Amino acid sequence: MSDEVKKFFSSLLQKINGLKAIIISDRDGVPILKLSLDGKFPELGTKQQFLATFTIATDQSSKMLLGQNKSIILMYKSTTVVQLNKSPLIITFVGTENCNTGHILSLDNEIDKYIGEYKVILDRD
Amino acid sequence: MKMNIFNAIGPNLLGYLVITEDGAVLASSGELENDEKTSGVLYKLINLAPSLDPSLFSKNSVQRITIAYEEFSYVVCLSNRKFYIAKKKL
Amino acid sequence: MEAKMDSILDAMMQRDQVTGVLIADNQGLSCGTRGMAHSQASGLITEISHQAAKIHPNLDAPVVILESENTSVTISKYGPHTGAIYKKKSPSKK
Repeated sequence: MSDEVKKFFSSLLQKINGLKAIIISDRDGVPILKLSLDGKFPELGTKQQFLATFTIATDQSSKMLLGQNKSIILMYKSTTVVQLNKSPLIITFVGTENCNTGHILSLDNEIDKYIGEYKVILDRD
Repeated sequence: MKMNIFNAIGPNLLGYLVITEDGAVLASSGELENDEKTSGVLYKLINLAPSLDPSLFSKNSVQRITIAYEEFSYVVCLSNRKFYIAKKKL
Repeated sequence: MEAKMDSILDAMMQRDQVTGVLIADNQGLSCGTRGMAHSQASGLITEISHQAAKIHPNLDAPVVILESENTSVTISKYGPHTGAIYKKKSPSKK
């Protein structure tokens, strides 16, 4: 991914309280960009199988006649995972249990600006 | 030191900091002298503010940020591409 | 609980010069908004109050006031909640 995109997401890691890692992957959970605050990735929420589960979950939740599912927040004992549906991409944020979830969700529009071009490229393939 | 604009605050001034737009400390004095931790935290805070509401606070329209504790406060102003931070006794 | 929150928000909106009110929880999720405060801002407001509290972690969380030419936003933290009050500045106070 381009430097600009990388820079944007790294700045989010600095900005958002409690955020540990950001992973951009495709629908199958294959990572395209992996960033973390200290170079280490938490066990929970970064594995490919975990990321791919989102695809199933978001597809199923879109069938509830409430429209397309936009995001899923998973809260565990000591980890919060926020996944955004930017079909065909999945953006996964992994943070601590008191991570600023609201801030991540409010970045939705800003993220769109940066990943728009990648959506087009992936759609074409 | 030429940084005498802070003297206008008078005896309530506990310390000051001047940092550039990219976070480098230009000057520091008093309680804030060489206080890299505080300047780092404040720099992060300053960068958060403009994204609050773009319609309300366009990029350079936040004129002043006050961080008030019970006994003292920090006042941040942007001028000439530098952030001027004063720590004042209340 | 919802009714109590609503009554607090409504009471704040009644005050002089107040144009918006927002209450967010510790995770930056909006509990309620009134007026010009947008629920999307809740995350950032929580973030600002957390960041400000880091300057002196041993002291009570500070009150943060952001001022632009004609508006001010006062952010303060009470227990698990963070509140923000948007105010129109009176021109005479300039």
